[in-house]
Amino acid sequence: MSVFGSPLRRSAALSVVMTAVVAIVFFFPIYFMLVSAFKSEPEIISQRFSFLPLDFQGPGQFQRAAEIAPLGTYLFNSSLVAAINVGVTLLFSALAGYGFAKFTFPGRTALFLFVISTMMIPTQILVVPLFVEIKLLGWVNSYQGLIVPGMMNAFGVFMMRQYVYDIPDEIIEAARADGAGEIRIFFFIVLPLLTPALASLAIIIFIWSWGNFLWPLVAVTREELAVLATGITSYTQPYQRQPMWGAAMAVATIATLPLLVLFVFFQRYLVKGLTAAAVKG
Amino acid sequence: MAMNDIRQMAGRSVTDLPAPSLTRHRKWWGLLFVAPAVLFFAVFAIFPIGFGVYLSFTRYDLLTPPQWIGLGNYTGLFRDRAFLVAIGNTMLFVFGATVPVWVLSLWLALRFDRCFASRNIWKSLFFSPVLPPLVVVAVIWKVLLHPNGLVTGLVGPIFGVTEIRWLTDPVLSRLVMIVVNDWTMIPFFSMIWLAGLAGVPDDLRRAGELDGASDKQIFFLITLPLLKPTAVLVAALSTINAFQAFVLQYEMTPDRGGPADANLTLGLLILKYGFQYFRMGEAAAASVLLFAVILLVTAAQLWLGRQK
Amino acid sequence: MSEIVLRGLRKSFDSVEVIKEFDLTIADGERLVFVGPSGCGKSTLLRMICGIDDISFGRIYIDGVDVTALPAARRGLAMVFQNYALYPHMTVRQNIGFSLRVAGVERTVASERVVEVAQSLHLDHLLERYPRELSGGQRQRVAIGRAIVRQPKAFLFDEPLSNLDAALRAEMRLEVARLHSTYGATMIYVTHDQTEAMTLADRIVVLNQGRIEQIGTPSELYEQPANRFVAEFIGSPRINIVAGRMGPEGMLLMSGADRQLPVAATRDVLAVGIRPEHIRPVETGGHLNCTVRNVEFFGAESFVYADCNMGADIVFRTDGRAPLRPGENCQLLLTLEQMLAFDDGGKTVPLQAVV
Repeated sequence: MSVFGSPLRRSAALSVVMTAVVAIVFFFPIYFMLVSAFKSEPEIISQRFSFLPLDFQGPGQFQRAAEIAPLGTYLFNSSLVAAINVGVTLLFSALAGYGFAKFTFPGRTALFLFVISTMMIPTQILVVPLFVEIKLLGWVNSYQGLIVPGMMNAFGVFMMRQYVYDIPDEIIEAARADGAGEIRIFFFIVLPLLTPALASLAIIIFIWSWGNFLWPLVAVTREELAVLATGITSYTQPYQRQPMWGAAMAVATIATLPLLVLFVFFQRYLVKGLTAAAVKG
Repeated sequence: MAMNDIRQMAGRSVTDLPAPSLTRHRKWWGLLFVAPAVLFFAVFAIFPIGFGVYLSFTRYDLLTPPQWIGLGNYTGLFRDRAFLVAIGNTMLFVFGATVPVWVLSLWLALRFDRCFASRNIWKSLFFSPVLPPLVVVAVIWKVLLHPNGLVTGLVGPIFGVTEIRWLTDPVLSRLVMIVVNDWTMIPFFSMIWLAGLAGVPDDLRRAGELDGASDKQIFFLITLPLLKPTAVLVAALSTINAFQAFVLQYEMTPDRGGPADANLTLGLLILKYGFQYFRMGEAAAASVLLFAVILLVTAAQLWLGRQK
Repeated sequence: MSEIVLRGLRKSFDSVEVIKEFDLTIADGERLVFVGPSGCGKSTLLRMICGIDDISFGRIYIDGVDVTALPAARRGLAMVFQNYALYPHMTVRQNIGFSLRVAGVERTVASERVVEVAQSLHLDHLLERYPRELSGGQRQRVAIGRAIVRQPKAFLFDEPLSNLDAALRAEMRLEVARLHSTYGATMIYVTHDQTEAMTLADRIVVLNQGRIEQIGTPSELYEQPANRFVAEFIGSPRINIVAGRMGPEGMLLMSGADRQLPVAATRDVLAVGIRPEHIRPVETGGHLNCTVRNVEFFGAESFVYADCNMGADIVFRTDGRAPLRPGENCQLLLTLEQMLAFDDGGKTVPLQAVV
């Protein structure tokens, strides 16, 4: 008997094929980007598609990208911003999550609502007053201006508070009875117990920070402060020059690669994290 | 012996005094732990909101001090052709970025929810558009949609043309913005649907089968009602996102929102007023209006989600 | 020596008083058990002694020193928590050694002491394991080890066995008893399980709604309960409580029974209590007539539930081979000397035989 023997089987198989086709259609532009980074210019802007480069460029497009614009600087800035965002968000969120979950103090509920209400405020709406604010601080076109206003996300506080709740009070009481001070309890008991949650949070914050376009666009105009997301426009909308599509694809690949790596190795965390962020955020 | 002294001392008089508190310092520790986050948000979220509302009542060009003009910016905006055009463009984009996304992301999530051979590989491929930053998405599609590019190569022969101006035609470019947006958003929302579907007990669907319900009946009478929170969430999130949209338009269209303002969205308008014309008051006023819309959507979401 | 003295302890949450005026002296080396239903304040009391919870009023003295103002770590007491409260991210070795590390004890000394303690609890082969890799009983022993390593003046146990299954619980009861005989330290133990209380205690404190109902040795509580609450709380199966009053001839009359019992009380009586082992089925000459409803067979003995027309069923113990069947009628003979009577306040009223 053939696999496609019964009509039921046949329709099921057809549905699988269709689903696979949909998946390929959605994936195709990503593949196009990856393969175009190794193609020559005429091959990229072409009405025909070849699955592998006909005129393989090697690292040529990447070198060209680095010659036209300070690609290394973009990469460094993006990494720096992401690292600080992740570090600060993790630390502040864990601290605040612990404070909100395990301590009672006057105004606790009000302060918590105050913090999480900021989750609802999109950057789009903050961008004008925030720009004026950093202008008054003299931070326009500086690393402080680029990094500080976005280095913390209220979602982290929300998420950490949930996880700290799940730590039994008794463990913290036991540590106090064992003679540990509050700071030691936080760093040696609470923080290690939050490790899995912190990993998820780190991935979410990294993705948000790495892809952030709006704030770097308005906060800095100097090229040596640009990040990958804003820097990529110097290939597609260059000043007094033809667009360099190959170089743009190379930079696009670089900008996507860390996320691709995270996706391949931590798909579970990433999907869970993104979904959680969407549901609660 | 000392013991006896204490016993005597420990009469009523001593025990009627309040005992020293061991935990009285603890509230200060709590405050200390939450302080960095609270201060940060006070300075970089709550203050700017208030400041933005203030700016929306002023004329301010970053050079001379803000000048109070009351509702001038708001009335000015509603007389401004570009603002009205932007509202129209945004509404169209919101429609295109919500209804089809809602339906298609659910439909695809249901397909990927079934078990089939090497499902995880196909699912990974399907999720992949979620990964690149939105500006990268714009760049990829800008290349694909080059007048002489690959998409023209696929579609052109049907109409017998060799060049299609996807991004510079006022009608086509609006459609393209929606398609590109939906390409990244559909997999993202499918992810959320799938998380919701994972929470629907399989037993309920099995029970429906035993009761003789058809696949369609099971979906509409059992699965979908249970997915109501997810349904509301997807609708609200996609709406909020669409109202703020500007990255694709900024990067892909001529003159950042062209041709002839065909793709000028509210998000882009705020950027243009604020950082091209330095009309901070009007930019702030547009931001306040946008915020009001988003709060309305959020309120609707909470209200719809509550009805259970 | 380590005598613990509690003087006038009171505790309120908001305006609700959860511990009311508590005075108690716990002798050196004593095994004291706080027992009571959930919400009676026994855990709160223990946490106040330990220094985890604040006290509203009152003083605590350990060896004559007022420790009320000292934080938990400096009272020289060690607590074993209900859910063990082991640090999940630390190995057994690190768990036991944590308090020493915090106290800044020199590393080699600390590690020696950890090993010593581990050996005494047969944990030495598990030192590198994490709590999640241990069985319930092993976790319990680690929790005890964490207490021992501090060489405390007294051990405090907060329902430490409530998460274990019945077989393990019996084993751990012996372990706790052994711990006491090895170290001879004072022990305060909180439980809601009267069996645990009876088997472990030198003295039991029965608590109810933040108040002491009775303090005494296990046998005192069982045989001479101060009131109806204690009588009902201690003993399994529960004591039978039947409404009763003084009959016209000054003799006790149980409701539903047709004749007076030859015992008299000095005061007015509202209820009568009799334990299941003080009731015996007889052919004739019993005090009550009954119909057997149900028999629970345990092997050596059976619990018989019988309807004596008294509202609730009467339960009594018989030999496992007693030939009683549901539906059968029989008479019950009560051991009158062991009977208890309670007044309208629930207080025990002394009974005297009428000759």
